[in-house]
Amino acid sequence: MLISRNWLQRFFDAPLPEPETLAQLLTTHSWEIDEVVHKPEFDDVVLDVKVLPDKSAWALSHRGVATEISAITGIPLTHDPLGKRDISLVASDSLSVSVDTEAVDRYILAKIEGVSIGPSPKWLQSLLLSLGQRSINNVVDATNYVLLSIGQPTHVFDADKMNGVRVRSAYEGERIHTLGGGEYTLTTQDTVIADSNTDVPLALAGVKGGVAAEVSDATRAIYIESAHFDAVRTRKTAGRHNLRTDASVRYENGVVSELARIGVRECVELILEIAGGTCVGYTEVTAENTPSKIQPASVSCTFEKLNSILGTEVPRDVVRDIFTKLTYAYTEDAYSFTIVPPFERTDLVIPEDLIEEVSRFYGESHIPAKLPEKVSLPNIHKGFYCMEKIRNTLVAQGFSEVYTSSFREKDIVPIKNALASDKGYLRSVLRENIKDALKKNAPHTDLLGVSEIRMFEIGTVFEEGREYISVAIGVCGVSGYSPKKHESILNDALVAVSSALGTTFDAVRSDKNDGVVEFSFTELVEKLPDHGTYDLYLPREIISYVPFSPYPSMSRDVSFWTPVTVSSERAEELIQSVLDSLCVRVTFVDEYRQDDKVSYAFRLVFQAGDRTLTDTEVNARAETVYEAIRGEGWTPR
Amino acid sequence: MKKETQGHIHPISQTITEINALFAEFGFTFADGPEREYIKYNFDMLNVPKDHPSRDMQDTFYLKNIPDMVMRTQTSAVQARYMESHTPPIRIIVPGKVFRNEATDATHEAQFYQVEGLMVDTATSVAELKGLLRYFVERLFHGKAEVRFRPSFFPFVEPGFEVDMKLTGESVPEKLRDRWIEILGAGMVHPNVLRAANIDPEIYRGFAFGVGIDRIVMLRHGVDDIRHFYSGDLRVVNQF
Repeated sequence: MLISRNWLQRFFDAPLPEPETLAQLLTTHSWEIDEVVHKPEFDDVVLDVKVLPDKSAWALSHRGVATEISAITGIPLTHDPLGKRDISLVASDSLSVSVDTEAVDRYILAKIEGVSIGPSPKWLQSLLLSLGQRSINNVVDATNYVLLSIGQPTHVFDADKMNGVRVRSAYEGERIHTLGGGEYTLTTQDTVIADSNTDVPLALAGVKGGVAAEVSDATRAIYIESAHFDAVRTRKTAGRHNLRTDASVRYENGVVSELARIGVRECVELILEIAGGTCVGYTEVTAENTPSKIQPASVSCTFEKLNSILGTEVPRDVVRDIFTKLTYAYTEDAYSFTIVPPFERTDLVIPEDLIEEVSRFYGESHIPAKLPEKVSLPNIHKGFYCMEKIRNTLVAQGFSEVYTSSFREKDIVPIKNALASDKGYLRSVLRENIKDALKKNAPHTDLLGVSEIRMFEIGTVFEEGREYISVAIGVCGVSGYSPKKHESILNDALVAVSSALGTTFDAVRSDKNDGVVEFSFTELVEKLPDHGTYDLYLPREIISYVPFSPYPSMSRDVSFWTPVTVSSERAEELIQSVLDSLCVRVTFVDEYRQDDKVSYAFRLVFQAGDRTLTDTEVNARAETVYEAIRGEGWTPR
Repeated sequence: MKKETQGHIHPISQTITEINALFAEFGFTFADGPEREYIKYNFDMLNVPKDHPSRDMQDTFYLKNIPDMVMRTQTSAVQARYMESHTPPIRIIVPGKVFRNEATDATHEAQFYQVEGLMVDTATSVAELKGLLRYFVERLFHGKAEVRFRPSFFPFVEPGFEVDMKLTGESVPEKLRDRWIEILGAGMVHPNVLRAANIDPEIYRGFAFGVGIDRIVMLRHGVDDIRHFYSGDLRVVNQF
């Protein structure tokens, strides 16, 4: 929510701190400030405020933010519209208002005759424009002002384009044209403000006004609506029509019903001031048990509880001072303190809510950091223990662990609201994902410096009635899986896992023998005994990740004879010394000795971060290596 | 260099192992729960109101044929399960996969890992939460740390905090040194959550915290894209 510093200042006589200081104070004590934007053209500064959800019922307004600033800084809030709770308008029975829905528990309609529609005064235009709002005309701007000022949505209708108001559920398929050119087809879950005689929808309740009774330059008489619409219904309507507005956001966050009374007063007073006219009165319809003045219940907390939950000793005068600055009725006795929250603070209900207020205004910097007492570990988690065993065993066998998506294009368990059509189901096996991953990794064997791709995953799989943890192990070469070359690798892996866990188990191979085996970890673990302790964990250095190139790598093998006195390390050093950074790996392939000579073979792997290399570039570098070899008196093979 | 004969453990698994070991020193037991979870544990018992926006279809994955279950949106679901079946004192650490129905980009995934910590006892406090979290980030990032608690909100805690850390020390990755970084959410367990699990909030209290493991790994090792963790690409995993 955007907040103007000039607007905030209107609630105070004493000058407020600089905007950067304000932002800092609010971040520490209230909620985050995303951004501080200077608006020299309006001589203003705008704060982007991220009000927390539990405080959004009362804080989504300049006045709400101002109360926090007052509590933090101690600067008195001298101009508080909520300080006066009387409606201060004359009741009238000449306005026709009826409510035929439970979606609204307070509906107030006031009428002003003899207004002159025109531009707003400069001060109002500047405030709205600096927040990125549009300035439309004086009466519409007045409603926007009241909303952003105190958080109460209001709406103006042209009184001559309608008879009276009937609030009702929309009809299935009923259409409404809203301000700004929108057209919506409604359902019976939506609520509309309809004309009391013609039944034409005039506004989508709690969300947006309609064009049927839109105010124009010719308007002379207006109705002002200030109401309290149901939070959940408003949220659902706004969601259903993808029409989230400043008004709907206030309702869905639960502004209190009484605020509608203050909203109508503020709106009428402002319109009379900037557009003239006479208020002929108001009519208010409320649901049963909707009090005209909310009487909040008092909340108590013992000092003992406060201090033991925070883990610090808050001096009593600090507690008293916090609630005094908040201007809440505060009393204390030897053991506890009691406050009566103001009517709009629906979030202060249990002692913990008061503890939060003390913690944030006292400042968490007063809370020391203290370690809990160490206690011995009561038990070892068998599943996690065995999972670690399997991981370590497979890693020792050259397998790397991957995580793959829990979603598949087609499988057993469908998701109701999938992200994409290829993510519509939960996986029932891991092996399909592992097969895909093997294929994707196969071209990278040289780059990775491995003879073949070996990988495994330990992850949850899903059937209709159950989920369990599965393990899949896979292997493939550059050109895929070859049973002759790779089957023994898989078998050795299974044997190693068996012996590490001290049990045997069956692993599933897919129908086509294609290099992936899978077994149920959950089933396996059930058969195993509990273990005494975890293996000791030794911290490792923090590795820095290096982004990989999206371009393919190319390999060249070089082999050559050297005297037996030349070690493979020496040979590799020479190769490295003549290559540039396009060579990303030099892998030792093999060596063999014949009489007084030894033959070495190395694989050079080349890759660029910004392009696909050409044969010419790669061949030139291989040739450089051969030159260096000849230079040493060694013999290329 | 020689051909690689050793494989590599996924960086998230490595981090889970490390986190488990760190908290084991303070007697926190490893606990887990299903990834497809009952709404009761994922929302109801965690004091999330019936009509709360986080339950909406745009945030939570629902199953077509199983109306009372969701893909868990938080490892906190295990809190509720564990408290229901155990009596305090409780100290658990819960790493696991969670799901959010949101579009993916370099910093967002629809599936990612969280670790939840929970301690319930007759006397614990925000001060102990702060001490434990400072210890945690110091060990995890190999340096000295300050932690700072800012007001925040999660339905299952009161008060709730956003926790920032400021690291110092030579072994700390340079990019992370000497600045405030938002690292996790935490708070004192809401009495309604204790009550829902049949634990008397007049006798017991607790704290809980939740950390995104992917984010920890990204910060600690400078990984630039969260999607790398789920791509099955060994060009990523084999660096760890």
